[in-house]
Amino acid sequence: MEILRVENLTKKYGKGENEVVAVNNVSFSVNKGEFIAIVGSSGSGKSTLLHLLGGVDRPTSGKVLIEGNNIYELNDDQLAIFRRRQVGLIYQFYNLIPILNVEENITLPCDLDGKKVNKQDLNDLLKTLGLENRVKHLPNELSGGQQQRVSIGRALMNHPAILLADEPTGNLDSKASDEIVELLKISNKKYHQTVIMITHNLEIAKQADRVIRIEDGKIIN
Amino acid sequence: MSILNKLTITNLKLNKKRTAVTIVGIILATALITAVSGLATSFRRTMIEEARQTDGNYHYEFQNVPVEELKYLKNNRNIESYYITQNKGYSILKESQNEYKPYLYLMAYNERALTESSIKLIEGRMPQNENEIVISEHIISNGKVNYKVGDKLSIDVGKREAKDGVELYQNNPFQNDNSEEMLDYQTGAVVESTTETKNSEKIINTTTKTYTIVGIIERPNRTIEPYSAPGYSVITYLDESNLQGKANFYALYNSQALSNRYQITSNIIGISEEVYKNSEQGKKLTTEELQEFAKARYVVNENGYLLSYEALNLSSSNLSMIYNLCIIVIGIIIVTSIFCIRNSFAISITEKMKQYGMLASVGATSKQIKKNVFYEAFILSVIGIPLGVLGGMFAVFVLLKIIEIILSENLNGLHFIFEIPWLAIVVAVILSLITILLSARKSAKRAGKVSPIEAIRSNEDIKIKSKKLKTPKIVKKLFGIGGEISYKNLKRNRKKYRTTVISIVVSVSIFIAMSSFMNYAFKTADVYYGQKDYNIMIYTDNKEKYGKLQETSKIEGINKFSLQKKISVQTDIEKIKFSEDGKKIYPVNAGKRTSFSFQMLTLGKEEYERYLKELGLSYEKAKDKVILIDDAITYVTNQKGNSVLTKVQTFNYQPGDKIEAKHINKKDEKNITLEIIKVTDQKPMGLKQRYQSNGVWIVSEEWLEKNGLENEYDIANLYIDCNDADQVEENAKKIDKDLYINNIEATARANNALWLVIAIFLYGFITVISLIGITNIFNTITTNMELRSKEFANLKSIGMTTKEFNRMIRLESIFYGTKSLIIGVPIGIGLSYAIYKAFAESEEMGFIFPTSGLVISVLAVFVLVAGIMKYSLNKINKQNIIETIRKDNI
Repeated sequence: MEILRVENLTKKYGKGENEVVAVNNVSFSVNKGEFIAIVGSSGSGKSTLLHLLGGVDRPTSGKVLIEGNNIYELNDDQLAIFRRRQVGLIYQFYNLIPILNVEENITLPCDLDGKKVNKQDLNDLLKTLGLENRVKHLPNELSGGQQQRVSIGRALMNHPAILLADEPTGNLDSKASDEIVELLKISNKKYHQTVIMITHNLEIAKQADRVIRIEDGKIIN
Repeated sequence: MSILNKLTITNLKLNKKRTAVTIVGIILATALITAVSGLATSFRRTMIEEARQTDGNYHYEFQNVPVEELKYLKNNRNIESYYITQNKGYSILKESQNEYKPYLYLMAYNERALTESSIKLIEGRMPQNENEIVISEHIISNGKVNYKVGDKLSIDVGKREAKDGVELYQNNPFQNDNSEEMLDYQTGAVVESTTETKNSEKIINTTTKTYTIVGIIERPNRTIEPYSAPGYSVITYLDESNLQGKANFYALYNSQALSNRYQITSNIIGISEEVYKNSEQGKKLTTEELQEFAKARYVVNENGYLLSYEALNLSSSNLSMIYNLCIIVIGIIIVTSIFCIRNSFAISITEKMKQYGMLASVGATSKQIKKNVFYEAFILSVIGIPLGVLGGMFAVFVLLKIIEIILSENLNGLHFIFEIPWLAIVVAVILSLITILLSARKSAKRAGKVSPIEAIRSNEDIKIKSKKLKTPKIVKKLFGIGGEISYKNLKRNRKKYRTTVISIVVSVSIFIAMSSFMNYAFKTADVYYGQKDYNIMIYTDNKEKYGKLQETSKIEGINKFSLQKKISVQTDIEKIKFSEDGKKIYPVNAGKRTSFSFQMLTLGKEEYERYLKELGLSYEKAKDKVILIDDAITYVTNQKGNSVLTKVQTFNYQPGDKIEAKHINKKDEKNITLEIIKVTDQKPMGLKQRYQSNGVWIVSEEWLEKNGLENEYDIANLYIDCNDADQVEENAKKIDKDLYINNIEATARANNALWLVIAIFLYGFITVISLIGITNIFNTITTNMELRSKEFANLKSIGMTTKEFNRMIRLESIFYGTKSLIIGVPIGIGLSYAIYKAFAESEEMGFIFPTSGLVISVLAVFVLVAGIMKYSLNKINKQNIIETIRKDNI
């Protein structure tokens, strides 16, 4: 079942001589439950592509259809609501809210949505993430790997249609990296979660169902 | 310029708005300190100049110094300059129309005395030799003697002596049998009486000389010619080389000598410093000290006002109050500005921590980084302080001009002197510099200690403990997750927000206190002037002028008037029937007081008839009787044991009671009987706010005539109610310019002008203090928002809508606006109450809750905070989420 479809997606920055085409007429589709790795050299446009998929940036032209709906037909507020319900984002630098503890950070999308937190779900998630003993800690009291696990928890909390990870292991040592990739794989299997991950690391990329290679804003395989 | 310094300047330029705001803060603080001290010194300078102009330019006067001793004084190194005068004596002025002023009083002034002793020339020139004189204008206007410039005057000058042979001077009033009893009009008691007989004094040892009048001067000040002086001042030239006898030496001390003036003055007159000091400070001297004091070589007089302004002799309570006020005000300014400047440095450094870390990582030493911080401080001071000083000076200049315009009616032509207070400026500059350097030092230390990696990761500001952030569940329930985040933010940034909160608290509490101060001030003025039922009062104690008063009452434009005669009578105190309260006011058994005086009053025909109507009496019934207004205010001890001003009745009289009294004048006594027709607390025109403990006894004019007292009144008052008080005053002056006219409206106007000036000062002050606070708040909020922009982007990326985000920020501003108000408002109300207490001492008023001040400050705080938040929100909402998130990820 197709969950994501990208049609002729283009993103340009700057104007005239300074114009940079970060994403150049890209089209592809992703089926539900797929684990996809996007690889490419630095500056190839992979992060831009990911952000366009997640609805945090707007394309110059083209469409992103999630579950058949073009997300860029939504206005900013609708897009924000779409993000918190349908997209889980994981960044290289975790980007947790420093004044909220682990539990609060994870339930933040729920809270923003005004939904009641399903305690069972939360406990299950915390256990999966190995954070059940860190629930009341603040981000700065955690290691990098733990912080990244919190951000994975936050991304998964609302059972989004797609999970987007922007070099989630880029800032971690190899042991922590393995743990994070393992978690993503587990979520992929256990929750049948669609995962799209950017990585530099070819070893990690190999573990994905499919690898999309990007060079100069274009898919080359 | 080193690369680091270049970096600083680039940074300051990059953060143009913050740099500008910081500089504005420094400018305001420096300007305020300069302005406050500038105003204080300018006022002082003005008062000194005023004192010199009116009282003469000297500190001490040594009277009757023998000529051969003058050289010691002249050579005294403590005396900067001096002038000399000599009293020549009295001469009879036969043509004088003023029976109390039958003499000319001739004095001789040396060159300097003519210019320095406050003598003001109206016409002609000053005397240049011993054959020329100038005369007081008072001779012409008061004595009605028609001398002109150019007239030759032959006078017999001699010693004025009392009957017992004592020499008399200008401070001894003319003594003859017309000296009447001096009555204290408040209580009616006889306070002083002289029993001299006619021509009890004489002029002896006269020498005759002819002088030419070369000029006319204003009547000299009261130290030269007291109000009751019997001689008109006439001044001739004093040739120092040809000086004989005794002279008065007026000394101006140098500034060093001023600071130990007691020692120097006591040395000159040859008595111990302590005795002199005690006597000058009004302490009671012991017999021994008195003996010592009597040994003084010369009589010495202080020029009190000049000394108190120039030597800062703060014994005068007004002056010390002003200076204390200045010290408090400067204190508040310094504290506020220290907070402000420190805060902006802390912010600037926090922002640049990452940069410092990078510099450190490429090899900048901690010393270099510190130097860099100080360099920033230096740049800011170099721009801010001079502008502040200039601004402050300009403010003083403008304020003085404004005061002169507003207070022109009060000032009688007094001109303010704008003095640049160099010392104050130096102090202001040093204070600002110290503040800046201290603030910079702390930040520099922090910057110098930075570890490269920590700074680059900028973890410094996220060292939080979860305990501190505990948030009550109710917050989340009420305001949602956005509310919770903003609440937690407030707690996280406690230190940063503290300065903001303090700024708001200071501004709010001072504003509330000041607004209620002004409330009371205007209210007091209103109580005093607003409730009078007349707007002009004219009185005279000269019986020949009664006709003039009658004439005045017929001036066009008068709605209502009451022409009253006041006659003092007395009786035996034991014959009076006092109430219980009255017995406390007039303790009969105390023994000292045997007589009781009170005043009878007539109201003039029209007002008397109107008043009778008000009381429900007919003229026929009332005309031979007396209406007693028995309404006094006195301190009564209440049940709690406090002394409270209370309305009481002094007497215990009923209609029909009779009182025997007598009227006494020089020639005879007249017995009168007063029959009371009514006892009331209703008052006729002009007496509405009069509370007289010996009562007001109102009789008809017919009654006065029947008893032959129609010309025995002490004083005649004319109360006028009219639409245009100024016009009526002018017309009244045309009728007789010697009438004493009290234009209530003009007085109230002048008084309100004074309060207006005070209001300008107070509100100006609070505005600038608030502005300093605002620069502070602006810096804190905008920087904090910038520092958190990544967090905000993050929240948005996980799905917070702009609406929710704005709501969150708004909540944050409400949270700490509320917090500052919760502290600031009670302090403000407390201060208001303290002010109320201070005012309540003198006026009967209830505590006015400072509602308007409160509402204004609450609104202002929220508008301000919301405005600044909105400003930074706009900036943040314009930013691209992704760019912001990735900005600092190297």
